[in-house]
Amino acid sequence: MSSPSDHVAPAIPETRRIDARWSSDDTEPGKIADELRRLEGTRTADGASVAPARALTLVVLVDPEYDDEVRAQLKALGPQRASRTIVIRRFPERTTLGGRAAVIQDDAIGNGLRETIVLDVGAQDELDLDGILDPLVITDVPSVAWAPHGDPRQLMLLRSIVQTAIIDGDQAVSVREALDDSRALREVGMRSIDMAWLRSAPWRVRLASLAEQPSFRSQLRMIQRLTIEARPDSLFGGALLAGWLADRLGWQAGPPLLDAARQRVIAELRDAEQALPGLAGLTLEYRDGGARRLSRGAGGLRIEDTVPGGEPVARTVLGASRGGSGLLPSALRQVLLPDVLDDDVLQATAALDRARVLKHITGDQA
Amino acid sequence: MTSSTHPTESVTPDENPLAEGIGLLPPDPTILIVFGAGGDLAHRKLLPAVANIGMDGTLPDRFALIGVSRETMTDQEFKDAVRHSLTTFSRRKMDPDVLERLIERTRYVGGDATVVGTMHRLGGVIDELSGGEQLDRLYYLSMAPRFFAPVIETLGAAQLINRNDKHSRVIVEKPFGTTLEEAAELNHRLLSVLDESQIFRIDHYLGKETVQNILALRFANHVLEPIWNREHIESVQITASEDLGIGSRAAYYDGSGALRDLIQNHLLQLVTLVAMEPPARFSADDIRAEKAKVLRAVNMPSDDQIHTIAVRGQYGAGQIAGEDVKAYREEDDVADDSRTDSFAAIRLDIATWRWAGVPFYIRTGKRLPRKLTEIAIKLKPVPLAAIEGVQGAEPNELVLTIQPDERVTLRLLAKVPGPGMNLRPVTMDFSYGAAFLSQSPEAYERLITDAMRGDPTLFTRDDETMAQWTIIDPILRLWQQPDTAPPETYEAGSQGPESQNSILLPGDRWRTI
Repeated sequence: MSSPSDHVAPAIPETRRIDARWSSDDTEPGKIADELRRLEGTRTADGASVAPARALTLVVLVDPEYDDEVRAQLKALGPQRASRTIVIRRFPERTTLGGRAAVIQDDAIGNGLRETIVLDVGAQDELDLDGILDPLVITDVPSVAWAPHGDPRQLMLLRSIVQTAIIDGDQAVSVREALDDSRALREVGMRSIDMAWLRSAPWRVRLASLAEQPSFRSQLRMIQRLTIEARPDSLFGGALLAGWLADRLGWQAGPPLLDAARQRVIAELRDAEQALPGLAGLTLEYRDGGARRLSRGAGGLRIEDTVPGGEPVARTVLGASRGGSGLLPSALRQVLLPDVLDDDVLQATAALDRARVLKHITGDQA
Repeated sequence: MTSSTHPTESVTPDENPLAEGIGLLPPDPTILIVFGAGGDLAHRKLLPAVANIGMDGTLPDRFALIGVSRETMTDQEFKDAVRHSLTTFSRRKMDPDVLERLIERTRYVGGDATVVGTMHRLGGVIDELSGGEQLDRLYYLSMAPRFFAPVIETLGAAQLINRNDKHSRVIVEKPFGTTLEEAAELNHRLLSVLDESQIFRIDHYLGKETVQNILALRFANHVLEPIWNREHIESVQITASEDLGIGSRAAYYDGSGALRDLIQNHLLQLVTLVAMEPPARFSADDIRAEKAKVLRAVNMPSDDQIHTIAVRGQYGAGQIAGEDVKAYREEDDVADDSRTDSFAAIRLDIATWRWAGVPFYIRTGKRLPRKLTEIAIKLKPVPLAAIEGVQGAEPNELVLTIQPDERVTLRLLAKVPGPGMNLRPVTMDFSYGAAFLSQSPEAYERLITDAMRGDPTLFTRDDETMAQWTIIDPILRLWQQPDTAPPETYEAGSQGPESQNSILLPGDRWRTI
């Protein structure tokens, strides 16, 4: 049922600027889909040569208290916005379904249209979110769901229409809980893209690049201590990095943790203070007394090499911090790319956690 | 890991155990040496491209930048100029920390790059920045073409590069010669110092995502390949138009012209991508071999028939977007009697089983109604016009637009709603920006990164360059003869000279720009 607030209002009709909106305080999903089509139709009637973008539907589950923050993050996506963004805001006391839709021309994509739908749902709607979303997601292109600040498992409610979930394991209370969340999503057939894993990407890429050198490949076989430093709210990312190294280097969790040559390895995850979330440093100490340390520095990653008995020699490899707002575009892009958090890494991280061989050194202990 | 995943698997010294799943790694440690570092191209395109690669974190470890030019400048003055370029011309706002780290690793060598002494000083700076380690070297010749061979020979004489050194490469900007003879001479001189695998002839069109997407469209989609031949395609039309005039480029452009400036390189490369056979493997050698075959298959007419496949024009005064603009010959530094082509159109006949009889029309020009680069593939009409209205209707057309929007459009006939079977053309659009979620990187960013990696796929090989000149040279020779008619004047803002229609086969027409 439509309320008196139903309307179609091209915002700047005199310039045929594509910016049409509709809203209703009490509506139904099918009606919203109809109105969206009608808004797109007004664009064709204007004779404008535009077409809706068809790459990705992003579904965002948001609690009203985070509304402004999430809106700012979505706005910051810029040209990397999803083709259609559906924001679901939960108001437990609400008894009707509120809906707003907007069709906006996006110069960044060349005569393309992007669509935004905002749904205000009550408690009665929460168990039927997939039914509500069904007519609203773009068919034949990937759909991805994201619940900033929310329980990642609630995204499983959308599994019949959303294939991928963006989660942030660093928000879990423990490494084990983050692993369980990821596993639960996979068990219901959803791919998870973990922000914590993405935070470690520049470190993984640089380590892999350094390992192109045979000398470093030899040193990788001589690691006796691995120390990863992370901000206390980014420990899962650190654990995943340790899991990745352990998996790629053929370590066995034990206990004790052994390398591929069955030599003992000590692994530590240390709290570190820094302004931005994520990893702060990684140190590899070799059995011959040498070491390599990577740390976050101004303008890129700082690499510090120490030969046995020598002094550290440092350099910086360039790279801009993506910061908090830079991570969501990476996550959306991952939906279209194959850099996934693979099962082997998750299993290796879980093995380290089970065997308790990745020792967490808190700020006090450090 | 765990006992179940990698039991006792050991890491062999020859494999990089961390590379799996990473995708493309940053290139090996490299020093980039830019000759012509004081020039416009370096400051507007190359240096910002380098900085953006740095922002993405994909510059090599130990990366360093050395600028070389004739100007007398201190390191600090060059660093200030680089800082200004990056803050002014970068497509993204520069991270100040990245900027400063890059500047720290920047040096300058002033002097004549054709003098061994200058190269010895350059060698000293390279040694200093290398810190005793063997770093790859990428020499970027962003300078006038007449310096390409002397500079490379001087690099060789100073032992800064040689053909056995697989860690040193050279990027050569266009134009690669101005005639077939010059290009052959240049190739000969370069190959006397270098191996072909060390030479990266840049054509920045190949760095554009949409251009690379031609290969994806053709070879990753079954729907197109069965119709990609003379049985189904009527003609191919490639247009690269600009609404701008020559601006301040008279010194270069008046000696070059439209045919050399765009058709000889960029547009013939587009022809190769449209017409090439599927490569056996997606490797640099296989792709470039197939492209070269297309160019060699072009059947050029005898000299006295060149005028039937090539025409030229020169813009007169007119209006662009309501503004009066002056004629080519009134532009600064252009002679009153200049015969330079600001418009050129040619028709190519590719003599292969796939393309025999399918005309490839190519045109480019300045002061045309708008900026546009597109490839239009016109299909044949249906064999039987059973539905009234099909006869005489525009046939299907697949248009790949490269500029200003990156898009693919397929024109189909569809029924107009209502009684009766009335048809009208409709289009199916694929907008690159709408279908994907991020901006395409600048072509130079992709190409410089590829060159640092030593991947030549998107660079032109010597046989391609020579085949391109073999096509263009007879036309240029005809146009340079004093008794040949001068270029036809066309009004600025118009569709170009009338004479362009003379090279069309019966039934064909140019698309509206």
